[in-house]
This record gives sequence, C-alpha cells and structure tokens, in this order.
Amino acid sequence: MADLLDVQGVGKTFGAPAEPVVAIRSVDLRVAQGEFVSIVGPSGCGKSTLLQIIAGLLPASTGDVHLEGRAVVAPPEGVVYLFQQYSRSLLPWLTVERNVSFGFSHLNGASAREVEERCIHHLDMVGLADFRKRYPWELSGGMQQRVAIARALAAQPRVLLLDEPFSSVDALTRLELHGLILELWGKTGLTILLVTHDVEEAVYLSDRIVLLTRRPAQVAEVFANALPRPRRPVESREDPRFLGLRHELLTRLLKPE
Amino acid sequence: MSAVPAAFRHRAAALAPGLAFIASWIAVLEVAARYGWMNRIFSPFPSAIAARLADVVASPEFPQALGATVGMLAVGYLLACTAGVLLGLGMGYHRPTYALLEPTLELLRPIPKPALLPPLILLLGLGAPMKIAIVFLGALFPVLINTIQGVRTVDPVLVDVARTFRQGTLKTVFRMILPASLPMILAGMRVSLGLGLILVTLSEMLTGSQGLGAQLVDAQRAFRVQDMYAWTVVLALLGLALALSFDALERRLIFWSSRR
Amino acid sequence: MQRPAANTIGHDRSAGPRWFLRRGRLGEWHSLSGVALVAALLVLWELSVRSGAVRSESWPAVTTILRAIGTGFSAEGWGTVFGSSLYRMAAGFLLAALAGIATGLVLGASTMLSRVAMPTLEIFRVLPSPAIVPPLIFILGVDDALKVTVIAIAAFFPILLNTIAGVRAADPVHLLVARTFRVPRRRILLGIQLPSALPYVFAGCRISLGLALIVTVVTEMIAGSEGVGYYIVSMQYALRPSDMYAAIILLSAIGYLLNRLFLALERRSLRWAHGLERQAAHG
Repeated sequence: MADLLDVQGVGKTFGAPAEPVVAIRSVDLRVAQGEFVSIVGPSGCGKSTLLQIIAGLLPASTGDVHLEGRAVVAPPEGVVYLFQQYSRSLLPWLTVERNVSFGFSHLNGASAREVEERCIHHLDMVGLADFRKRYPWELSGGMQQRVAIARALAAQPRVLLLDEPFSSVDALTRLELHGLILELWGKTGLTILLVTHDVEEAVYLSDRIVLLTRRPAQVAEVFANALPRPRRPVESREDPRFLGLRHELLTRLLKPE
Repeated sequence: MSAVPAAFRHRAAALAPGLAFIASWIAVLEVAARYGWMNRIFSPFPSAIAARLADVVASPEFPQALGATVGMLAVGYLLACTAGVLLGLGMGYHRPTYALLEPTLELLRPIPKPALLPPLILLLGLGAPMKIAIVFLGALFPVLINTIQGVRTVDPVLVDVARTFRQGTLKTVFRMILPASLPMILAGMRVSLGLGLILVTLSEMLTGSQGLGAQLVDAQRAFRVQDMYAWTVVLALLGLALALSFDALERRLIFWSSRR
Repeated sequence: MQRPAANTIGHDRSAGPRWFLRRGRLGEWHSLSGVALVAALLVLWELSVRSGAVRSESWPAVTTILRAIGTGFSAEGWGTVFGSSLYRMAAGFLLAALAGIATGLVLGASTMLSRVAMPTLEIFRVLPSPAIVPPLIFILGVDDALKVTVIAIAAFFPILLNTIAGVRAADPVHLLVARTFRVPRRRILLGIQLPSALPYVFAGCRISLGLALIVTVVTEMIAGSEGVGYYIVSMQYALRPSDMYAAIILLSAIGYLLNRLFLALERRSLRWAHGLERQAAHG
C-alpha cells in the first residue's frame, strides 16, 4: 500500500519571538491509503494543531506535509477536516440539505438535480434523509455531528481528518457514531486520521495508534492494533487484545514523564 | 534611536493609506476645477477653499461663531448627559420608577427632535435658551435609554455582592452599577454628541443668528460659494475634533472593557 | 465601530445584533402608575390653557390639537403633506441601504480597502447633515434630487458601520469550514459573511430608517417647498401652533409605526438567528 500522507519533522511554534510557545516539537508520521489511524495524547498536547497543519489550515513552523507526493501549504483537494465544535461548524441560516451541499456545490459540473441527489444520498448514509429540510438548530447534538459527517463525505474526499468528533456527545450516541464511522469507512475506502483523548475509542476504531507526548509534542510511540475486523460494539470491547492495548496506552498516558 | 514611540508609528502607518486617498481626491477636485471640467464657481475648488478658510479663521467672526456653537452644544449636551444618566440609573435600578416614567418617555421618544425646533422657537424665541433646549431634548434620549440598558445588563451577581456588603443603595449604584454600565452609557453619549451637533447647527441655520451654521447659510445666501465651503470644512473639522476627543475619553475611561 | 444606541426604552432592540437576547415586552412594564402619569400630564396641559393660567399663542390646548389632527384627514390634507415626504424618505433610504450594504460587505471583508476608505467616510460622517445641504444646493438645486441625496448620505452611515461590524463578526469556525472545503472567495462573502452580517445589517437599517425620516424633515425645513418639514416651519411662521403640533404628533406616530413594522420584518427574516439563540440557551 502506497503512502498517502507523509508528515516529516513537523513542528509548530506560536507566539512572539521573545516568548515562543512550542506546541509541537517534531512529529513524523506516515499514513497509507485506506488506513484508519488515531492520534492520542494528553490534553493540550497539540493534537488538534497537528491535525490542522495536516489539513492545510495552519502552516507548519518546521518540517512539511506531503499528500500523494505533493506538498501541503493550503487546504488540498481531497482532504476534509471535521471540527470538534460541530454545531458551530454548521451554517445556521442553511437547511441541513444546503449545509451538505455547501461543501461541494461550488465545484463545477453538477446540475441542481445532481447536487440534490448527492445530498440525499449522503444524508441517507448517515440516516438523516428525512431531516434535510430542517435547520441545524432543530437537531440534537448527535444528529448535527452526523450532518457534518454527511457534508464531509459529500465532498468525496480521499482523506478525512476528525478532530475529537465525539467528545461532546453522550456515551450512547458516541457508540452509535462509532458504528456509523466504521460502516462509512468500510463502504468508501477513505483514509481516516482521528484525533481523540479517548483511548478506548482509538483502540476500537483504528488500525494504528500514534501516542504523542505532553507539550511540546513528539511521537512517543506508535502502536499497531491487532484487534480483528469487523469490530463489534460489545464483543470487541471485551476482547483481550482490546483490553491489552488499552492497558498499555492508559499506563503510558498516566505515567508521569 | 527614534523619539517617536512605536505605538504612534503603528497608528500612523495604519492611517497612511486613508490619508493618501483623501489627498488624492482633493487633488482630483483641484484639477477638475482648474481645467474647467467642473463649474469653478459653484463646485468645491480646494485651493480657493483653503484660501478662504485661512481668511475665515483669521476673521473676528470666527471665534464668535465657533464659541457660540460650541457653547450652546456644550451646555445642552452636559445637561442632557447629567439628566440622562441620573434618570437612567434611577429607572434602570428601581422598577417602580421605571414603570411610572416609561410610558411618558416612550411617547416622547419617537418625536423627531428637529421637528421640535419650530415649536421651541415659538415658545422660547431665537436665542440661547431655545438652542440649549433643543440640544438638551435631542441628546437626552440616547443617553437615557442606553443608561437604562446598561444598568439592566449589569451582572446580577455583582449587584448581589454589593448587597451582601451592605453597601446601601446610593453607594451600590454609584460605585458599582455606574462603572459597570459605563460602556453602554458612553455609547449613548457618543450618539447624543452627534445628534446635538446636528441640532445646534440646524437651529443656527434656521434662525440665522449666531454660530457656525448661521455663517454657513449667510455665505450661501450671499453667493459667496467658496466661503460657504470653507464654513462647511470648519463644521466638518469640529465634528471630527468632537468625535476624536470622545474616542480618547472613552479609551481612558473604559480601558478595561472587552466589549470595544 | 460606533455602537448604535438602543432606540427603544426598556427593550434594547438596536444595541448590536444580540438584541434578540433581551427579554421585555411593552406590556410587561406597563403599570397603572405610568399610564396614569401620562393621563395626568395631558389633563394638566388642557387645564393650563382652559383655565387661562397659560395665555400664549404658542400653547394650544390638547383638544385643539386633536381637532386639528382630525380635520386634516383628507387626501388634500395630511395625505399631501406626508405623501411627498414619505416618498423622498423611502427613496433616500433605499439608496442608502443598497450603497451601505454593498460598501459594508466590501470594506468589512478587506482590511486594506477599509483603511483606504474609512478616513474619507469618517469626514462625511461627522459633518452634521444640515451643513451638507447648502453646498449641495449649488450642485443639485433645491428639488427632490437634493433632498434624496442628503437623506441617502445621512442614512448611509449606520448601515455601513453595522454591515462592516457584521461581516467582521463572522464566526471563525464558519470561515475555517469554508477553507477546508476550498470554497471560493465570492461564495464566502455571499454565503457566509453576508448572512452572518444580517442581524447587524437589520439593526443598522432600522436605525437608518428613523434617521432617514428625521433628515427628510430637516431638508424640508432648510430647502423645502413641500412636505412635513416645510409644513411645520410654515405653521410656525403663520403662527398656527395647533396645526404645527398636529403635524409633529402625526410625524411621531408614523415614525413609531415604521419602527414597529421594521421590527416585525426583522423578526421574520432572522428566524435562524432566533433558533440559534434558543439552542445556545438550552445548550
């Protein structure tokens, strides 16, 4: 499998030259096509910053990011970043349907009919086709996140970058959304990079887990996840391989450095 | 080593494009007038205006007119601010007072203040009392309304804190509520200042007595066109001076507020 | 930017876009004492004239004024007086709105352009509107063109300033969303910055509407031959105070109605802003 994403020596420093804040010291990361990789670390360690750099939304201070061999300096084609504050990321003056089309309707070619069909199709994938004429603020938190996911998928990206997408939903909704993400990942063959502070979520969902250190962030270790697919919500979480990896990760995270 | 502080240099740099733009359209007007593309007599002719401006400022009428306008404005405005703030504090803090006065004020508020000029002229004549009255009436409402609103939006927690210290009503109001409502009060006072200038100018223009407005109309009627433009410039500069002074005052008074 | 003052006592409708967060209906605060005060003042006024305590040409009784209002209600009466004024006000306001929103969008979105243009605009903003009239008379004459221009110039600024503030208040997350989807600049302006600015734009338009009415009256007072402003001044010269007061009262009523109508329009058009606020409140 070819490398899709190549992150080399990426560092990020904020603040005035007199008092710099080093958010990320140096991170190396390679993601192959179709992989599901999680980035885990203590809160405030710079995970979101790293993801935004990969998304092209922030420039790196050092190092670079390459997507399919091409350097990423601005949001590249085929990469979509999903926000942590999903309800804020939906435009409140647009219906759900229009929100979904907002991500791709400016691309040339599609007629109004095709746009509508694409919207319905992707809303159907997340189970919200019936709500397309509603407004975002009429929906619950979990539903809003699903709209955001539908919007992201409707843009037909190659890479999906998820920034703690499930941290502000309740536990049950979170489990449903896990199932949804895995299902969509299976159907579309996307490459997914997930940032989360929830170790169990990382273990349940991903192929590999990248553990970052406390700020200034570096890669502490990369864990391969041997948990077999397809993953099941209850059984997989009781699997010894799940528990083992979880144990290792939690121990590393809780260890004083 | 530069004697000019960095903050000043930064602000000057921010102003530069705007000032350059102003200079450029003044230049365009000048050229247009000189080459006859615009009527030289009736259109603004910058070099002529500048010359007339110098004469106007040097003339004896100038300090008189300026003093009259600023004087009437100041008296009416300060009275309105005082009355507005005091009344507003009372109404904002004390529900029964609000309930009592609100309908009356709500009826008076929609009256366009310039429309009150002719009645005031009939009642008070053409002189200072009329001008002070119209400025007062115009400047009162924005200050009053904003004060009430400012008081209303003070964090109730702060008020309760004051109460637990047994501050007493007057102290609570002046030491705590007034400073907390200051940003909104100042916003209202800013609007009132602009309104006051409009009203005093209008009253001078309609009565033709003293003041910058009167001089402006005088020049217009006598077809001293470039003089008229010069007085317009004076009024614009006065407006600018008032606005900038208010900005400076606001900055010093509410340096702590994040709402700006 | 200059924060517009609230223009309704008790309910902060125009202090920026968050007005919809304020609660408070007129009915909540109306109590007997307030209405009684108004009635008492009116009675006092009437009595002051009837009893002969105030004997002045310029101080007519309330009833006299009411009669003056009533008799004017024909097409040749108040219709003529107010008709042309309202027409000019509407024309000036619409011009101001178009120019103000367009300019506001552009200047709000571009720091450079706003740096260039703002000082010039500031100069015209601080110049009191009556003072604009005499110079413009020489360029535009004394007809409608002059008046509509002055009205438009005065009404332009609240809309401009509020639109700029509205554009700048666009949620940064929305802008990031646009970036990650590589939405083109024009679409960002029209699809994100303009809708975000709408609550501000509405507030600015409402203020401008009131201002347009006032400036209409002002221009008619200075350079008029018809309209409310001219009428009021004429009644002053003719020493017909009851007609003068009658016109002022009707003018205030019209201003009040326009304001309420606009508020209703605002409420309907900004349903999504209400929804957003409701969502934020219930978190």
